[in-house]
Amino acid sequence: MNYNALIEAKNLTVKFKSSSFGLLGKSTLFNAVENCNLSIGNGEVVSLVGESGCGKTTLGKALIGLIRPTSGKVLYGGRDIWKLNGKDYTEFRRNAQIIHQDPYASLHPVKKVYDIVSAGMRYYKLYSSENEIKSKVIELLAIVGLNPPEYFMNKYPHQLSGGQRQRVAIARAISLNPRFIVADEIVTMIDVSLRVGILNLLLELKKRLGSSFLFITHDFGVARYFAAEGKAAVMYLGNIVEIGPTNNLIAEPLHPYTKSLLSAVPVPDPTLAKTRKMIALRSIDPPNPISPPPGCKFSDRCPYFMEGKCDKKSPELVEARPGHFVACYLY
Amino acid sequence: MSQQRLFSNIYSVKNITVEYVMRNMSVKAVNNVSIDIRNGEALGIVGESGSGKTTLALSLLNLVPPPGKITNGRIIFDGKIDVLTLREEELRKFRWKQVAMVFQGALNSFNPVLRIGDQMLETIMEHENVDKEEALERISKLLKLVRLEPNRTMKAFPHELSGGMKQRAMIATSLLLNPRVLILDEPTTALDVISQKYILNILSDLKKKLEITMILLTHDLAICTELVDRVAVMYAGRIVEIAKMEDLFLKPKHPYTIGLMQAIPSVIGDVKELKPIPGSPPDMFNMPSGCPFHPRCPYAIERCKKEEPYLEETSEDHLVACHRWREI
Repeated sequence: MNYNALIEAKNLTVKFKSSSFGLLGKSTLFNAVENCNLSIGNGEVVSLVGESGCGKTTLGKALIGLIRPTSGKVLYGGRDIWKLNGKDYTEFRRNAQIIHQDPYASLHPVKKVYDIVSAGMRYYKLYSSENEIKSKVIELLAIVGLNPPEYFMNKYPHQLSGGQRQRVAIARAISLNPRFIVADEIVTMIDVSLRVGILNLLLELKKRLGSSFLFITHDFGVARYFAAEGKAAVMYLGNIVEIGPTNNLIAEPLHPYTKSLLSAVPVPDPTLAKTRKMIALRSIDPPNPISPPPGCKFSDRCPYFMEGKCDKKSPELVEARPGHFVACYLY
Repeated sequence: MSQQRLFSNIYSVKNITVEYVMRNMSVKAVNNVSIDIRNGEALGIVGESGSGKTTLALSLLNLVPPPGKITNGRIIFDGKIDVLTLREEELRKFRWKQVAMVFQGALNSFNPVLRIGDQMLETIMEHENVDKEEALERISKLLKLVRLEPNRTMKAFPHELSGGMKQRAMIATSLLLNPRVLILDEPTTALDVISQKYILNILSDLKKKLEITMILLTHDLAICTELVDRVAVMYAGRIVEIAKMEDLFLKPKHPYTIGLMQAIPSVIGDVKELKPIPGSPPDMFNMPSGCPFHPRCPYAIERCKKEEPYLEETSEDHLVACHRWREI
């Protein structure tokens, strides 16, 4: 993948400690993210889909430097972010922002919206006068649809609804004109009737700012909506198992895990729902992430399991269709 | 024959209002709701958080927690039991024996320090006069029905099971006393899609095998297509539309239902631009006048601001609470 990558993960591994049973139990290391390669180009959108616990948030946080990888690299504009000098590192941090999943936890509860949105601009000294900051905050709040801005900027987070809070978090993230934004399950905690509003806002901002996005979600429908023109990556127990153009990946999934996920997504169409059958897995429940099966981590559930092959060595991503990569021995 | 028709509703809910009273304020979490629940059907109750679906379900068991209070209405079970007048001892028998509920987040409602099998056994022994052999037999039969391996599951502690397995064990537990109605509050919300689909399959299986009435509470319209026969849509404490599941999806009539349908990003069909429902869900302390949906409704007229619409029959088995359903 030798195009103009803005941000790249190279053989990225993040290990976490997990204390097993009880107070006296020994802690074990396990790979939250294992040997991941991912590159996101300028202005490109990548949806990262996976179930809870698969490592998608950890990967997202590693990409913006919030978690230091155990091994492997994160490259920003081709340079290792953990080897940048002070000034360049600051510049990277300004350009890499995150919108967290839970707008009830991500905003400072005793600060007003005005302070929350302007904090970054102050820190990076983007504007010289308070008047400039104020007009910028007003502009940002208007952009994210919190009208009238003068009313909302004096509110505390607890006075806002979940959807409004998420809009504040978005305003904060874009306040520094970042080139790369990680949006982590940003609509999961939002009421169903308000989700599309938030997604449409972010899509519009993407056009306007030209930033790159890593859009993390467990919902294929949302992933497809947001990254219709971009790529989608599917993660399972720390590995990216499939990545390709979103529409191709959803229309013709290659990895057995992606196939089974897509076959299990409920569809809002009663006629179609009757004909859809879930792919039969050998085991419904995922293994404990601390002790995954040897070889391909999906091998103990996969209906296409090949003994002596899948349980020996973990498969590498191969280009099975143009631009569409899959880590599976079937291809 | 007429006798049977008379009792074909397992639940007849009339004008139920549930209020939460806090100091000098009161909030109507459920506002004048009437619905007949048919024997043997699977009913979906769809609504966003705060729409009153859980409170409505709790009132079916006369289990609304204080400061909540059922301030109006009647609930008749099986044509003869007046649920709201039952005494504490009668209620204890009614709950679980007649109607069982799997609560939201039920994954964590097992006692963490007792084995699953012991907890299930205790439930039977507490309520029924059966010997242990028979009780164990029943437990293992139910665990098989929810596709769990009985011996292993009974010996397991809750933490040894995955989320999906715990939820299945919970469903089996709720069925221990052969209830006639099973209420499931967001049973798949905390689970991944594969476990979700699996549980929905199991539930539709159970429905066929046990001839049980199911009430499924969910915020996700799409999962209704997997299981339910009829859907009731709730908004701001009211039921705004009730229809057969197919009818609701193919011919939704209430503007809120239509809005919800247009706001689901799907994995099928073309990627269309989705339209959000404008505005936000109402502030329960400060309800809009007239139809509670009117500030967000693209079809609202003067009348909607003044007069609250009530459910009316628009076609067979399809009720809508909207002044303008004929024109939409």
